[in-house]
Amino acid sequence: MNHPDDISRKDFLARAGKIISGIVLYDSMSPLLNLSATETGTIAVVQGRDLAKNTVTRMAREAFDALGGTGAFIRTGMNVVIKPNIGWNAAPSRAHNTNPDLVEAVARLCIERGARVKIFDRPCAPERMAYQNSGIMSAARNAGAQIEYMGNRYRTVPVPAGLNLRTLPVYEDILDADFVINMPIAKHHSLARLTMAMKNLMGVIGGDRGAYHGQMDRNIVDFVKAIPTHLTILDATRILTNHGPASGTPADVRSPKTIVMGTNPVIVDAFGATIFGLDPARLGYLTHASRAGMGEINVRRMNIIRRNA
Amino acid sequence: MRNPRWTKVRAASQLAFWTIFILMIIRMRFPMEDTAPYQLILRISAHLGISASIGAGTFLWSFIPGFILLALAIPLGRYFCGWVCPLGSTIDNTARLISTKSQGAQKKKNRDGTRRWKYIVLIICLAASAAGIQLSGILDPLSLAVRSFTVLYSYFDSLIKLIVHGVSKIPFLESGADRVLLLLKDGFLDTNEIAFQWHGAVFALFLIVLGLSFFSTRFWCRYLCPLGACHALVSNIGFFRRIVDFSRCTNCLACERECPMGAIHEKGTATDESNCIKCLKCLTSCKYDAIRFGFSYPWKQSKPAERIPEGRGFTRRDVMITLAGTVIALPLMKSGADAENSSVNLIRPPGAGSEDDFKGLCIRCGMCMKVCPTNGLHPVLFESGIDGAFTPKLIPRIGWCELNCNLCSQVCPTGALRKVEIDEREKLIIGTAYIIRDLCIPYSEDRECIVCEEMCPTATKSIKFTEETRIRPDGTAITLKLPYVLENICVGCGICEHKCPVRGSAAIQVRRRKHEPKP
Repeated sequence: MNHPDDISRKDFLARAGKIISGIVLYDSMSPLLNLSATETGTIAVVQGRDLAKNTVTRMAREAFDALGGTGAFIRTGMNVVIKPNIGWNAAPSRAHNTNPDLVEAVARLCIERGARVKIFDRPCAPERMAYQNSGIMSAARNAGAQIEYMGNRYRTVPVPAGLNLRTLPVYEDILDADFVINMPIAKHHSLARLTMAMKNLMGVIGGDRGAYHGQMDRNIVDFVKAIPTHLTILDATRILTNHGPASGTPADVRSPKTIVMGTNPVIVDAFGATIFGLDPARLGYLTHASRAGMGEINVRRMNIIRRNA
Repeated sequence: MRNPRWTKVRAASQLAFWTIFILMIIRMRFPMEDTAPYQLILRISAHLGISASIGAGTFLWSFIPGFILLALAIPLGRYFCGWVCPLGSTIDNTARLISTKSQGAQKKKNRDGTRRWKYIVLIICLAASAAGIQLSGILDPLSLAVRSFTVLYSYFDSLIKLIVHGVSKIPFLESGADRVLLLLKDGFLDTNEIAFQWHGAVFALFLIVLGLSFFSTRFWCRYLCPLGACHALVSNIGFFRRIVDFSRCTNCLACERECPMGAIHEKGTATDESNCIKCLKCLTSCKYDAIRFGFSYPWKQSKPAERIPEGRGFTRRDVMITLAGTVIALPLMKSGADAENSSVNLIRPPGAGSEDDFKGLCIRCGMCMKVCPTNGLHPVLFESGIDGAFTPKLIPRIGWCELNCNLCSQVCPTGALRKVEIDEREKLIIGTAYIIRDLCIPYSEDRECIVCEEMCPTATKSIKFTEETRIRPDGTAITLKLPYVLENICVGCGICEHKCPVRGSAAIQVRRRKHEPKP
């Protein structure tokens, strides 16, 4: 009679097979599940020559190449959501919204891989004006992506180990997408100091957004915990260094001609802070995130792949 | 019965103009590359042209289309009311819903005295605009139609959204319903919710105008319409006339009963050309083929029966009495006793001149309210006096004045809002924001907020903050950013008031500047 702990050869093979397939599955799905993000701090930083559309397109391609190509993330038939910042009724030169050329380039790369791409945001400005004057409406159409206004479908999701929040209403299309690309622009913000990838998630949250401004730093960390994003592309082609996020003089706009790509928004934002010459540890939401083990915020310990385009 | 084809052409003309009108109302929103076609809706009214010119103190050449259409009444008669006017079409087609009585002759009876009412209305309107009071805008059919259909559009918009919202409550239909809503938002609905303050008053006036059909068909057009009066005056000498063949006419009164304007007299033989809107209904009603329409020059008319017996016409005495009555009544229309107080919250759209100039030129069409992308512009009722009824006002708590936008000034057909360039918006002060500290979150509670500063669109921010460290009841310290307004930079756009997260009335509110001299 076999001891309960004994295991037959057949059992052993079956279990081993399950474990191995599990590892393979885990590996292949990790970008989807956002699991690898906390461990590896790999980000791609691409420096462009100028702000021409061609250059920006090349920057996007270089960034993907540095992280293993679009094939490492995008599969045929995937439903991809790109969430840029389309918050404001302002031309691209004012650095309020994500660079439309970058949105177009990334959407194109995803579509070339056989994905369906949808683009949306919940603007603070009148929707039609923000979509059109940001240039993102025509950018999306040029790329063949679907661009639409946001509807009313929010699903309340739990915030695992939330600092402030227990639950959060999140836009359904974000939750149902196969792959979410968070595409913020880097800007000054008087309360959060800087608004980048983590703060950009506020655009897919329902309800009264003004209410999240009390203890904003902690709330921002909770957004990242609750909202799945698989890739973050920080637009620092133009940045707004003062009077952000919704005004500023021409002198406040600088153009570092840089994009930062990574799977973990915390790491991307930490690098983004250095573009402004700020120590990431001085940003409240980054220190909260770092303390919660959500990602490396010390730039020296990050694995940075630098490219030029 | 003779040639019914022409009544069909006329119905098609009404339908075409009405449909274009409705589509233009719907499309009157961002993005608008060219606003001229929209302005044309009002500029085809000669009545508005005259009264706005009086208000402006100079002839407004932009209203030339209205005068051309009016001049066309010399060859064509009062065609405008029967073939073009969107309000006339609306009245024609809603009358069936309203009138319960049979098409009896008693309804059609046209008392001679009442026919001059519309001239009295016209004289009152024009006399008032000379005194800086734009009654014309309230009563002009095109202005009234644009304003009323703007309000109707807001009803339609909310109704459809309500229905879709209701459907989305049904399990499994939720996503589908939302998808439909997104398509509609991209199409003929508004992206945000729209509702207008005092919409009920605008709608009530519209209902009254339509409801008058209960007393007689096209009551409004016959007796009250000031633009109709303009066209009636010219049509008296119009060439295109109804001609009766006396050898065939049996005086059966079929045409007299059919005429929606009560323009047929003398047992079917005489026509009141000032009221004949060329609808051609008499043509199809005549069983004896006794009626035709054709060019007949007044100076060549031999038979006196073709002309309407004068009866009680509009005399010089009537004009004098009306003018005197208007002058006596004018003070009643001026602003109320509380004007100074209420004017503090009367934020006019950018491009408005002084309050008196603005009220004198604004024809209350409501186009600015329709194009406003935030639903921030609303009609006022008596806030600015009776003479200010239906003029636009910014209510920032409902919708702010977007700084990168000049649609209202682009679309204004009279120049009551002068054309404002986007570049000058940062200098153009329409009000100033004031913080109410007892309501403001960082002032009154130990919590962060600063949403107003975040939203402020002026280049260097007109809201700044001081930092203050406070000890909370539990002994912990918190550093708060306390906002204040730079009065010399703030333009009063009101986005801070709109986005203020305090419930109910905001903790930052836009009003006229504190130190602004009294007008």
